[in-house]
Amino acid sequence: MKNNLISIVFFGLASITFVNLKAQSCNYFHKRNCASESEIPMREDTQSKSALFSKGQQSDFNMVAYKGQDYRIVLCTDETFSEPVEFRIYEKVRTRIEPVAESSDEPAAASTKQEETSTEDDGWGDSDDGWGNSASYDSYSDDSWGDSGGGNANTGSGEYKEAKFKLVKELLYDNKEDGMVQEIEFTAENTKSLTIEVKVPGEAVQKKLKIKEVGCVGVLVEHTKSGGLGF
Amino acid sequence: MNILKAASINCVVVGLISVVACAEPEHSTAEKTNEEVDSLKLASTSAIQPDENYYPIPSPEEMFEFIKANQLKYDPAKVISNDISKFSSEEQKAVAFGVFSTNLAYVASFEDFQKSISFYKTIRELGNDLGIEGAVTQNTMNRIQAHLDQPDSLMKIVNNSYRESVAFLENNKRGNVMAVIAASGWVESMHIVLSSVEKFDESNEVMQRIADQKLVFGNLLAYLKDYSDDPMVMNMMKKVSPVREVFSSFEERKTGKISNQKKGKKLILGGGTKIYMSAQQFLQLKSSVEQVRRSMLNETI
Repeated sequence: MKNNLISIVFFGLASITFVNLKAQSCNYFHKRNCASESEIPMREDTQSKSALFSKGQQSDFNMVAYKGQDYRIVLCTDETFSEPVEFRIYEKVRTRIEPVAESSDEPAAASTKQEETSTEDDGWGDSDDGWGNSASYDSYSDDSWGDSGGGNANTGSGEYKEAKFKLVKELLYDNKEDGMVQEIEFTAENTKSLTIEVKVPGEAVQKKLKIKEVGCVGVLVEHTKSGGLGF
Repeated sequence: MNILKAASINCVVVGLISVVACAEPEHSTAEKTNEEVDSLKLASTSAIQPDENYYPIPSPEEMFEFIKANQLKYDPAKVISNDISKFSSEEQKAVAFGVFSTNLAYVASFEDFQKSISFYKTIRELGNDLGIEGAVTQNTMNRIQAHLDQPDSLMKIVNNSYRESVAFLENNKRGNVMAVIAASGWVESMHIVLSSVEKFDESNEVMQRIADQKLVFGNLLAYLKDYSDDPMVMNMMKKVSPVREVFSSFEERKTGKISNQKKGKKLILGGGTKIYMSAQQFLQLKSSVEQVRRSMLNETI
């Protein structure tokens, strides 16, 4: 009985140790494994990232794509995942919300009118953007900063006379509609704040998962100075 | 005896798994076991974080490459003195690590080799104090000295070293330290870039790149926010608030409906918004960055 208990504890520790070490071995996975099929030479961008995923897991990689540069995103996984990963590119857009209420103790709850937002459920779960409260005082959409909101701040009497902003993700690309390709080249006409949503196919494990169900996913971002959009 | 035997076997298993994972060859998958483990426990190891958001750590190198390509002058007087004796706490050392790493990227991108070595020595010392192992080694120092006549190689070594530090801190659950390093490094890079621009010129590409830092700063804030329960990160969030205030005033104008269009294999992402910065806002940004930089360093110098 004691032997069994010790075995369970040690195997548990071994499993956790394995996963931690495996996570570390993912560090430069994109560098070693994500190779483009394109002949256009590009430089690795420091926004590249690799991480440990489990089947069915979805994570967001955020990046800024500058105007005047061509980008290439190449995704790759280790052999754990036999199917290609799904990825979507969203642009994060700060959308102005017109204040309607002149006075309120709870600004985030104030009645608002949104302009051109698209916040419908996309079926990929909750799209928490990490920017805190969605309707807030300044364009960084975070009300934990008191009244330092750059001209949009609380006047002190509960009035919010200037615009508030909400961060909205707008879909730009979905590889499901493009033959599940694992690499894409793009250029942005304006500098854009992008979210690359990566999802490993398979059913998400709610409680127990097998170590063979975890593996590295690499997101290699490369760039080069844009050669222009036309001839 | 049996208990000891079982324990020994399991120790060997743990050891073997460690060796297998560490020695994992490229292009292969590490050995797998069929062990079932509680995914919540796994998540708590920081190895797997379901639905995680990854924010890029702003790396100063690309900014400096850009300003170099746009003929901004190199000025060694902009870099900080190498005296680190007054950086004593972990927070101060993390700030210093970020600031010195940015200075290293600056001097290295302009091929000032002697200063590069000098900064690298300083960063190595700070790295040791912060317990950042592996990334800042004598071996790297030797490689830098061996590549003094090859600017590209020097930049690669410097960049790899920075990334190794990022990976080390993330893997060791020290994202709070990384967040402070990232923020202070970004402030220092803005200090160098803004002070390199002599006058506001709307038509200069550098101006747009500076205005676009509003988006980079947004990602940086989100990254800081992930660790905002840490006092030194919260302190940093407070310190950068003047910059946040100025960026908040930058207007974002819609340039057209967001669109995507494929030209050959390339996707053209159109529309969206363009960030505008006026001459006055440029001066405000410059002033707020200096204010934040002073507040970051005045406590330590």
